[in-house]
Amino acid sequence: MNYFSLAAALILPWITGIFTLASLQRSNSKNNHSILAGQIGYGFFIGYLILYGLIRLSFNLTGNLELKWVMGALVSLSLLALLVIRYRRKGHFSYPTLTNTSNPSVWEKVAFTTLIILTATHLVFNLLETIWTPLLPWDAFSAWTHVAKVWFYTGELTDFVPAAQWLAQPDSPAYTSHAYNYPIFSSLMQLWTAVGLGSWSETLINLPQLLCGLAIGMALFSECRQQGASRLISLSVCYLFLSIPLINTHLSLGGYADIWLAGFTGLGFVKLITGLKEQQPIAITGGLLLIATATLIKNEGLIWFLLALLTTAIFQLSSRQLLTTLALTSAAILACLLLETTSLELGTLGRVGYFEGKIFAPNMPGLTFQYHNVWPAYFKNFFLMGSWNLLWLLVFTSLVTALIPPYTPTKKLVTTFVLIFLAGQFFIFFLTDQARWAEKYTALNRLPLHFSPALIYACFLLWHDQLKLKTEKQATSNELHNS
Amino acid sequence: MKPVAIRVINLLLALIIGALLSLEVVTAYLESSINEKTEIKPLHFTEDNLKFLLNQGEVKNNSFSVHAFTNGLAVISSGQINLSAKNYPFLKYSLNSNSTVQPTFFARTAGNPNTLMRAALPDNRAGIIDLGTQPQWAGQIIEVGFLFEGKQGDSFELKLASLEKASLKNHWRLLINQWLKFEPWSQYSINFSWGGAKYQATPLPLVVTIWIVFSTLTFVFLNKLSSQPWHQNRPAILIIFACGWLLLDARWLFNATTQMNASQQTYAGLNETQKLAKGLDAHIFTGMQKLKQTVLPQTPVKIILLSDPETQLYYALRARYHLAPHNVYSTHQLPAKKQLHTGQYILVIGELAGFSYNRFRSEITWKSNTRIQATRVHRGDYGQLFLLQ
Repeated sequence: MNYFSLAAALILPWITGIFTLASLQRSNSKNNHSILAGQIGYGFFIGYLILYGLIRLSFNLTGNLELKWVMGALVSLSLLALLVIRYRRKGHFSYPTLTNTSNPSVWEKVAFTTLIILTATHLVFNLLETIWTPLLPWDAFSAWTHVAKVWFYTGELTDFVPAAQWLAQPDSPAYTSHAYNYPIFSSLMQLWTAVGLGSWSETLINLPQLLCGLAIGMALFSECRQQGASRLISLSVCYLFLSIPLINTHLSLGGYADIWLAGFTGLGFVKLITGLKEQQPIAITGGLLLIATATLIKNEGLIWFLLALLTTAIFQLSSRQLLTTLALTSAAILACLLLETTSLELGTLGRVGYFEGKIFAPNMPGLTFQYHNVWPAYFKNFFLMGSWNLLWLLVFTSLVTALIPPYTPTKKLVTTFVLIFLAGQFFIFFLTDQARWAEKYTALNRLPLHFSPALIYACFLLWHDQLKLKTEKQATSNELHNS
Repeated sequence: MKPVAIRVINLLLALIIGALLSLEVVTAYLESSINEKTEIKPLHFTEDNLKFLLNQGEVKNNSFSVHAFTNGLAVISSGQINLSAKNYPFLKYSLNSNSTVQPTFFARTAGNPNTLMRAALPDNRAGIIDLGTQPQWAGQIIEVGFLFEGKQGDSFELKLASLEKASLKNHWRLLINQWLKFEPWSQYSINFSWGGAKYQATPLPLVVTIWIVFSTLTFVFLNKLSSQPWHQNRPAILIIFACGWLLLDARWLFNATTQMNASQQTYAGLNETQKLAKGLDAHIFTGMQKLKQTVLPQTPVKIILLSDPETQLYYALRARYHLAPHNVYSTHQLPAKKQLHTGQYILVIGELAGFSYNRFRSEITWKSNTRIQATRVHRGDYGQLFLLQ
């Protein structure tokens, strides 16, 4: 086992991502720690996305995963990004002004230190469990990690096919698994880690997932600071995410792809929400792109991307435009029904639409359209059990608060996002046969996990906005009174 | 007094009053489930009413020490007794042992004398069990006792065991045990966490939510009384929420610390092979390692893995995982004969109904109507491996 090579394999993509992101941003300040935290957080996902591309390229060009070639490419990209950063620093750009840089009180310092200790405690727990406990969860050893292990030992990106095809082609080198059509990002990251280590490890292959959680925390910290929150409040948001029991479990017992989706989808929505709030097209585009890449990780990534488009459309369009869009969509659906054409065959992507009582989406099996009463399962899991701490109390209280007038753009944004998220969950688990996974308490918790960073961030935005508004109103009132 | 100081005092008062109110709510709920008001004394287990069946230990100061086992079992029994189950819904005990196998409390009822009701003693220390949740603990109880599974070298010490009535104190003690019950890693951990025991009379998140609600209302009320501005409620509400979150996080970290200790004791310092040899599927891992190293060819071969989906699926999928990079298809039905080819392997994990092998004829029989020529090349704790001819 080569631990130095392992460390390089884990950190190099991250560094490449940080430098790439920094080279794309308009300004860089050595003194702006919050922006740096954001570059570290988001840079992790950009870097590992680049890594994914390089690994696929390596297999396509050479038939193998060439560690040195990929590492060399990462180093080259990092150096190129550094050159761009250096070139842009010679030009004119502005250092962003960070609000709320007042000296914290003693109590704030105590609270900040306490939260640092608590957050670190959670991460240390996650790290030790990752190192000690061999691969445990079901879908890890039966699907995701099994695929990575086969690729590691065969040295090739061997195909996985359905069982019927495996039986019909005895001379084919293809393998079979119920996960034959799963996206391969998560498995490739485990493969990469094993190749970096130089041997297969039941524990260390899950280190990237631990880093994923850390990166999400840093990105959340950065986003909150950019919104003007104090270091204490920003760290609180980071701590809220990293202390969720289910998040802790996914960081400790690696092998599932859900924590990756919490990064790509969750942070994608965070960036999207920020972009919509600040009306920044670049942030909106960045968020949508990040969410779009989630399709490389799990099949439901496509549905999350559609929800992101819906969120953007509802928030950006005026009421008139929304009504027009709704009318046109209704007309299109009516036309399909009249023409008796409610689905399309898209070749390798499969069927899309409604066909023989089932709803079809690209690369996904048909879902039987039928109502299931899974309210008891939802209520129990969200409010009575130990998976989420008090997250759902926070979300629903925030939603109720957002629905109380006066309505601000932030309230509209938070309401839109949360309601669309809930609508997505309702559609999947109440209206289709996926309800069985809710009744078994499995996907019912793991799918909302993908949105958890954005849900926490949305709640933060709402309360931060409310507190800011009241403080500003009070200040204005005092000024008027004094004058 | 400064407004900030007033709000801090109001906040502290609100948290305390909120805690008292929520405890009162929980107490009222627990009291509502206590039907009997009559005075029932606890039934303490002593050397007078509980005896070793086969002299497998000794009793000293009403403490039962078990150190010998017959066919892996030691039994302490009350013999013939007659008590009403509804009068004694709680079992309290204190236990020390050097074994990982949990002792069991057992009972027989007059209505079903041939069936043993069993309840595992979950804690290797002081504990309390709500027998009232067991459907078999009903009617007249005619025998009670304790079962200890062990081997030479194992020892148990059971003391302070008693059957007790439904009291508020016992309900509270049970509830706290339920909240703090250790939840080790398992196959459901990646999907959800119970947050302690699977069944909790009043789930802790609910109690904390009630605390937050009461504290918030109390704070708003106190603020109004002390003429504090309305908008100053919001930061305090967030602090109250944070207190609730921290309390539940403390519970999680308590569980995490116990888990960390368990993981360290089990796995720290071991290499990969040693770690896998400690798992639930240790016999599968050992078997598959042996197959890979000594029986199967070095280049990956195709293997059809058969198993009973009801009882063996976990072991079958673990076997497939451990066999990588061999090309394994896991199923519970033998494929059609035309889909089987010479040189393929068939691996059977555990027992499988409908599958049999005749070693004299070198023939596999599947569900009485399919016969396939195959040689059994290995047999072990995991199952059997065959090579198709």
